[in-house]
Amino acid sequence: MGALTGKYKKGFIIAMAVLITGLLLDAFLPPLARILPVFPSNLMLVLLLLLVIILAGVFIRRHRIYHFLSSGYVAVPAISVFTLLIIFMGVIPQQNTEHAAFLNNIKASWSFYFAGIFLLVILLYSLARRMKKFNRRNVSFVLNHFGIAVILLAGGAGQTDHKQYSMTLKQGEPVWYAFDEKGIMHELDFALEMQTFNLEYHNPLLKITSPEGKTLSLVEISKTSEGKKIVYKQSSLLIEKFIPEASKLGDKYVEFHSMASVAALCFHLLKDNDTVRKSVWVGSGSHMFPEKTIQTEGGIIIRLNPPMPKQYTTIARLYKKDGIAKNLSLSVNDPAEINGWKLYQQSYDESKGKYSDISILSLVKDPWLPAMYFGIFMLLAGVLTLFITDKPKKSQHE
Amino acid sequence: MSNLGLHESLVLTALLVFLPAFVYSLVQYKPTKSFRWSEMLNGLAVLTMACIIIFLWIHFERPPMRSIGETRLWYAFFMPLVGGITYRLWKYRWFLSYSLLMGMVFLFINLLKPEIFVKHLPPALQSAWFVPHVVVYILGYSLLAASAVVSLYYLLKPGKNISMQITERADNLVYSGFTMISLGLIFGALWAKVAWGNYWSWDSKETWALITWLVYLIYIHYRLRGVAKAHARKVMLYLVFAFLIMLLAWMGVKFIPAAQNSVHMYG
Repeated sequence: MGALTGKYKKGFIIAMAVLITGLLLDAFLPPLARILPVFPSNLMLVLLLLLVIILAGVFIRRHRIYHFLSSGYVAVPAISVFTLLIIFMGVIPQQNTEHAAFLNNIKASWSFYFAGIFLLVILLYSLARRMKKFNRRNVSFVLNHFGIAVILLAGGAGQTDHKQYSMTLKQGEPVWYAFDEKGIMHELDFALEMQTFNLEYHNPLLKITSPEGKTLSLVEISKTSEGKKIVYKQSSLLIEKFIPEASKLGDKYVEFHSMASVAALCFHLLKDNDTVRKSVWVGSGSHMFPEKTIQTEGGIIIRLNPPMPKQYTTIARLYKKDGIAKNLSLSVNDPAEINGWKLYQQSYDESKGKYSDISILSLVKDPWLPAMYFGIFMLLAGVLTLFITDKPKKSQHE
Repeated sequence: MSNLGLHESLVLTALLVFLPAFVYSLVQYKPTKSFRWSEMLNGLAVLTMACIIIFLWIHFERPPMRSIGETRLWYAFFMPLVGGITYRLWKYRWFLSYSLLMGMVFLFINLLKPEIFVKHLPPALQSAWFVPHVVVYILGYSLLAASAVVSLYYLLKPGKNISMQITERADNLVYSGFTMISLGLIFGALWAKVAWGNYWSWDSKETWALITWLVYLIYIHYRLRGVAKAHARKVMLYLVFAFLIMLLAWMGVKFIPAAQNSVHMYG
């Protein structure tokens, strides 16, 4: 038992030494990811690092330190130190700084990279040891550990090549530049001109609430709702007219298409014997028209919730330097790709809704993505094999 | 009938199938031959949910995945399905009851708060990844919660003659729960790439989900060596701690100051 805890102690001492070295560097030097080179030099660094780890492994393979470095005694401390840094990341607000930022820019920090490289060494040595006596039961182990090694390498080295810009498209105006998070403009090798911006709304919801605030009914309203009856408690209402885009005119609403328009609904409040009692309007609110709700004599509140965005799509004209021009469609969850850039529909002028004359895109270039996917899918395959092949330890009672 | 009324009657029908299946799985907790019946009732619950989903699909002429309440129907479909498969694979008897209970909880929420059935999903959540991502996380979280219950039982039970089988049981739960949250993390990353452009953005929810994953990863690597009885209490205490971290990741993130700009906040 003493020897066992002793080995963990040794592992923790090594891991803490790695962490403290990293933290000391963090206190005085700019974050490591900020001074790492971009492609292809970072790829060279990755290969060099792998070479050093492998050569060192070959050199010490008969020494007991090799066995120690590929054992759980050092894996547990190494993962713990890595976890500790991520806990800091989860508790301390993070910024993307260029100067020394002790624990405030952990993902780019020396300590984080050191902890990651330490993990990588352990992963590779334990993989090498497992591969030596490779068999079917090792498949999951190899896939998992190899996958994580690839993820660490691709994530660590790829940080410097990852670019994310924001691009605001305007109608009738080709845009060939985008801005990074610091607001610096970057020229692109293509231009986009917004043709149309299409915002599709969910149908508005008619909400009927009791005086105590309990929802009695919540019904989706569309053109087909006209003539339908909605029953709530002892009362009911008959829908007469629905106007998706309306403007207020006195006590009534009329059809009106503009960025200020609201959804409006006219209905009759019915009594028990279904005789028409009163015809009233409710309307959702906009920056121009206040919301109009109805409160019945019994204190029941009837309101029309404003329609929520369902999906938004930008159709843009793409111009490339080689003279090619074509139309391109972008929606949320449906990106497009141009010249190595991935384009994502991100936002629009929310105050103007579907009449927005701008569309905001997010541009991402991540050349290490294939490597990252390779790692992720390896891990996924490893997890799935684990799920299929691993039987739990059986106790006699089962 | 209003749309809420239609939904209400479908959910009630489902509950009428889930409830006996759940009760039977509890009654037949002791190993008997008739446990097969429990699996069959569980299968019936899966089938009922499948029918409801297909019916709504045809009725609305669209996949019923547009509102939060509709996605809950998918959870209620997948819970007994994965519960049944997990039972087949690993023979956790209680797991059938557990997944049926979870399925019923989702149905009940739909019944008690009918407005969520029509509450619409924002564009970012409208993705094929939504349901698998959430379902594996729910299953993973429930297995890990069960491991914490087992550890608490070990810690609180008086007397020193506690069987090491209990720690073994906790281990098995952690292994299967960990598999699930690994899948959840991977699905989340693949989805995030499509929706937001980055597979990982160190969003607070992501950071804390990763912390949870790592905390259990440490446990699994520590347990490789096996644990002597003298250390069992510490190990079980660690599992309770890990569960608290998981709870923080699941529900507490919005209270952390570093998490105020999280993209995972949906009303």
